[in-house]
Amino acid sequence: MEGPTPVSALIHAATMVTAGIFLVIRCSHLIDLSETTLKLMVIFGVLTSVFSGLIALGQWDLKKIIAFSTCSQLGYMFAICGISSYSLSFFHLTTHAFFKALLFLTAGYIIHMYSGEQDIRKMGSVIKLSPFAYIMMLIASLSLMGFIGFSGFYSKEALIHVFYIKSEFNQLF
Amino acid sequence: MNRIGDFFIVGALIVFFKYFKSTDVSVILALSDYFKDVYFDSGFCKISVIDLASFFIFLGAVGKSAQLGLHT
Repeated sequence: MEGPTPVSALIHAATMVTAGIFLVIRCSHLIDLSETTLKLMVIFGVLTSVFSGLIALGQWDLKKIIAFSTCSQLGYMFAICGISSYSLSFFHLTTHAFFKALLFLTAGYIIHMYSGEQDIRKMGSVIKLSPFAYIMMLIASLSLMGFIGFSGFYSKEALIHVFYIKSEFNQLF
Repeated sequence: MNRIGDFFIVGALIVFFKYFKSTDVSVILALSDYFKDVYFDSGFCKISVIDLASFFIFLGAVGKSAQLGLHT
């Protein structure tokens, strides 16, 4: 799934890879009737979330790091579908589309600024070259990690909260 | 890996067309409550039609959203 950065911003953040999540949300009434599929969705979603985060730790390419972060967030959305909280999943899809598009477009700006260099080991002092790109990247990253006051906080916190309370009542499976 | 997921979506559409006689989402969702006790008998195992269709949709979503096992 390679492409120019605006294309990545479109297909990775909002439209293409989230089509699977939207399919599950659209067919939620049908999938709710099948217990086995719901259990499988929780297992797959949680495993994907953990493993894509781990893979992203070992990457040096700026765009690949963001792409694997998208995979990790998709795992969250898949897992929350498995415990029948479809509206939360769609809320996280929407907020994630916005801040991930900002992250991808800023990454394209930075890659152009370094004349096509994608390796993060060869980058540095972006704040001196372009403070605008630095601040935008900071805003999107804070939203992605769920900092208080950003859109990522409201969706991701609710998502993790539901998981925590359900596991306390042993309702996950 | 996207195309492997598409095959499962086609499988789900075949199941829908055989049992629900339609591929319209609103029709399928409206009728899905009546198919709880309908079973698909493949010779050596019986599986519920709801289970089969939702399993196909799940695998299609796994292929489309690049979940574990079908990621690049």
